[in-house]
Amino acid sequence: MKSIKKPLPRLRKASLVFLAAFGLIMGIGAVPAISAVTPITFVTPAYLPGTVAAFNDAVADWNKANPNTPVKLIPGDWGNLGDQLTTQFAAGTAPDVIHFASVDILNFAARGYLHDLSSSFRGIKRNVSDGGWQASSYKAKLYGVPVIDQPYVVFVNLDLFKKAGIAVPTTSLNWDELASLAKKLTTSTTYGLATGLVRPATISTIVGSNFGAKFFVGYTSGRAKIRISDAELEFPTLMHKMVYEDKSIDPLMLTVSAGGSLTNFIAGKSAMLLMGSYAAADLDVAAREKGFNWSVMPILKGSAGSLQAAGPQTFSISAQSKVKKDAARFINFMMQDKYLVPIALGDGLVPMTKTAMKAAVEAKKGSPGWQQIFADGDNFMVPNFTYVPEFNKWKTSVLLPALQRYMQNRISRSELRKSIVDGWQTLR
Amino acid sequence: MKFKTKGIFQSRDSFLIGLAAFPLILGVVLVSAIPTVFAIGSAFTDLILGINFDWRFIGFDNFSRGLRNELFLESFKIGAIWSLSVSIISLVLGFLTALLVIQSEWYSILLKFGAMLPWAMSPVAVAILWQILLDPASGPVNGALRLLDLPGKNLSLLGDFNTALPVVILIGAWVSLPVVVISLIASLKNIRQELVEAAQIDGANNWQQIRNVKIPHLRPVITSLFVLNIIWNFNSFGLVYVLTSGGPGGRTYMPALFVYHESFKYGNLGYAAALGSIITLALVIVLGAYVYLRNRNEVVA
Amino acid sequence: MKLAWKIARSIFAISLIIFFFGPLYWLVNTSLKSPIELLSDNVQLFPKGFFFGNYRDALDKSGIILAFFNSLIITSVSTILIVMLITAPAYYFARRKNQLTRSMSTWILVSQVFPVSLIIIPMFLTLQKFNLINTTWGLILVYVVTNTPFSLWLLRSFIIAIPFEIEEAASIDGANLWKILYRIIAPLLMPGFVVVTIFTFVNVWNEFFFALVLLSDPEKSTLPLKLAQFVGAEGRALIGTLSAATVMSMIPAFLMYLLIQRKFSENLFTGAVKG
Repeated sequence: MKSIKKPLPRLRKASLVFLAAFGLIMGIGAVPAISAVTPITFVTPAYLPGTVAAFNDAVADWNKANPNTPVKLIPGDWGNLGDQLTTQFAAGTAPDVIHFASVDILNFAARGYLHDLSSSFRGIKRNVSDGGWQASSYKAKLYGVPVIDQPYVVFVNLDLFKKAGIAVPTTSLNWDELASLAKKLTTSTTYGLATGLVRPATISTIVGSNFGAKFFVGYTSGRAKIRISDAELEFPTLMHKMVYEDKSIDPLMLTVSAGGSLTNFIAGKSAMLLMGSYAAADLDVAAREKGFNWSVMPILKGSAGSLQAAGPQTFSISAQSKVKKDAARFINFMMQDKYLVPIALGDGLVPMTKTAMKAAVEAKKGSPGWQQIFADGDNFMVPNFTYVPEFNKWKTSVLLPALQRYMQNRISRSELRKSIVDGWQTLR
Repeated sequence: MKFKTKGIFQSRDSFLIGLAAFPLILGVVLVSAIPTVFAIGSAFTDLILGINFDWRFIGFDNFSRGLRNELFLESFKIGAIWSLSVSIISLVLGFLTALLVIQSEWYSILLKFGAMLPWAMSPVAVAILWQILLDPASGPVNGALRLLDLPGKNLSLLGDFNTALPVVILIGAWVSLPVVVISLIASLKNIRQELVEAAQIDGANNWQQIRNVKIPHLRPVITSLFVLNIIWNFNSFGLVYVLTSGGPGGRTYMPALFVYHESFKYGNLGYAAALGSIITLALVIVLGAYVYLRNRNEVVA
Repeated sequence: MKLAWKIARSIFAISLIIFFFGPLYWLVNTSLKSPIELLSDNVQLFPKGFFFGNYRDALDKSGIILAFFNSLIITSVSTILIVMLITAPAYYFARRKNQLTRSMSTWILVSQVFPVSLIIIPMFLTLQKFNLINTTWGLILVYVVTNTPFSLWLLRSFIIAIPFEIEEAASIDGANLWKILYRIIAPLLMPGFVVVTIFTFVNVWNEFFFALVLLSDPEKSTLPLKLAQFVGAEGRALIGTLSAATVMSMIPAFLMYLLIQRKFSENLFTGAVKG
């Protein structure tokens, strides 16, 4: 029975200390940071240091110039922002300004959660390409201001090209020429091309426009119909051929994502890299620390041109926001070149306004690779799937698994077509 | 066991217990019961999350749509394989670990500490860590495979059709081990020393001791751990989702992932609720059957 | 023969040790690698130098220390509340058999089985009506309620293991229910309390989804949420910084475990010998 009595006084002391600390922390959490004024809440999933710094600067500058309408920056993360917004929209507590991506906000727009921005950003509209503008629209109404986007480009390892005695192309190749170039560059120790193929749905839908792939037709009249012709399957078919027949792509690529292809490329195991432009940031690190010599090819073109479907990051305003006018002013503020350029460069993406693009080109004058990326970034077109609200669902639950089965040789090309079409039918 | 509690429990005491438990009951009703009832109710409607979306009762339409969805039904198979395997593997490994810990050898302290490690890591960290470990180029797992010249050495094990589910199961077992180990160590230590000594006197060697004394004593704990683990793991898609997004080709796509996608990504609350109810029902039936069978066996024995 | 067994056991123990500690080693290894090393294509068993930049970045990241304290407070409060609140109901649950206890069993079962994604949205709306959204107390309430079923069930099984004769004897001696509970049963339940504490603490400390949805102020963020912010789009992550942050976040868990585990083995043994 002695053991019962002894802990009690110690316990009491410990509890007192604990309660004191507890009260302190709860107090800190409970006291609002800003006094009586309701701030404009702004959520952003930016996480790379350069981009985060740019946003912090923008918010700080705005708060200095607009003390009566302060902005409160709320950090989010790319993987979970969608879930947070879902619950917040349901309860009406979503942030006023939302930084997200056009593919992700499409569904929110269709369900009425986002404010129609068409009338508030006419000035910016003239500064932005049509493709980017419409990518963030739904039913002809703008729901997200396009901020930055990335083209899929082909990076080249200059040293491996020199070793093979092949000149880096200075004009746009078409995809078949790319395939034969890759074959020429394949040796016993290196592969021609690296590209992450474990989740090939996104890249297929974006570069598919090179071949005139539409995936859906008839959406303007209401009921979208799926269309999977040769054009839609051209990219996966070509990749399949390069892996299994040409053997110019390492089979490893079938199971890794972009990150894996990047390290493979930097290690000199593949001569070219097909990836989103954001790789440039890491390639700069490799150049600096390892003397890695890289550059970028002019953008690839297909039978239907070189345009790629746009999928920009966007700024939106919640339909439930009580400060819509100020929110719009803040977004306009952030779209100035002095913030847009570091935001773009921090992420390794291309700014969507023409003036910011010019400024970025200036800023990265010394890097031919970056210059080519900016040139390549002038190729965005409207993705037709913004007209199809179930697009994202179809892409992740039908297109992606089907493509994965095809790429890992579990089904044939005709079976691929059939399962994509059938999958769409079961979704409706 | 008869509950001869009349002498101790007076009606006043029961009332006081109820009073003391009142805040808890209130909380449970608010936070757990009401939302659950709401969720189940919405399964019979076509509720979609959105502004100005009317809803109406549609009876069992959502349920039949779910039961007709081949992908959903297929996911039950995967979910069953996943939760059963994780449960079995973590139980076996956990039991062996616990045995080794009890023995007070040089490795015992290390193992006791090590088995707790997965608990110290946040789920985000666990997922990223294992992705790093399984990186085909720079990860030690593939490095070891290359050293031993085993198949799969140059593939991403998480991205390959054949290896994705097994690897994910192994990681799931790693995460489930702390619970198992700690429970088993506690139970093993509670075995009365006398029983063990009696067995030793009878001449039983180590292995027989384990079989005849320890395992029977542990039976209730092991069964509950087994069943609990299956339940928890069947519904926990978070880890798998971050590791493989349900792929490749749907190889790791589990029922709870369906529910999550339908409710969060697409806002189809009604449909998601129906799917969730189907999952719950299936699990309850399986559990009920198991309990029923076990009780029957006990009576016979 | 005995030697062979001993060797086999040791080998097996070593493999288990690698299985447990290997990932931890790799985590520390990764946290000490510089950005260019992290882009490497080879298995680097050791970092080239000791690059502390990742640790600097992790600490710089606004709010991670605050998040740590938030987690600590929220977890401790939730755990203490649960242990306090479920003792009496668990006793009732263990010693009685009536419709009420049967419903409790059903509720415990269903609550463990029903998918979380379905409950979250209605729960969010309910909490909103009481202005508990984005509050620390709201989150604590959710944690207490969601951890109650399992803790109740756990504690109940520990109570059942205590022979009823003890209470009978005490009641014959004239003690009322409350004296019995707190003077006699509770001390014997120490191992049970410890187990419930550990389980609840770990579950709440690592919990992600509820915290994600219920908290939107960065000042109230918990540690798992902050760690998630090192992960970007399409699964890319600031691996070095995330590893460093994870290593640092594990230290208090280690300490806590060391503290608890001494008490753990003592009390368990006492219970066993007495029983």
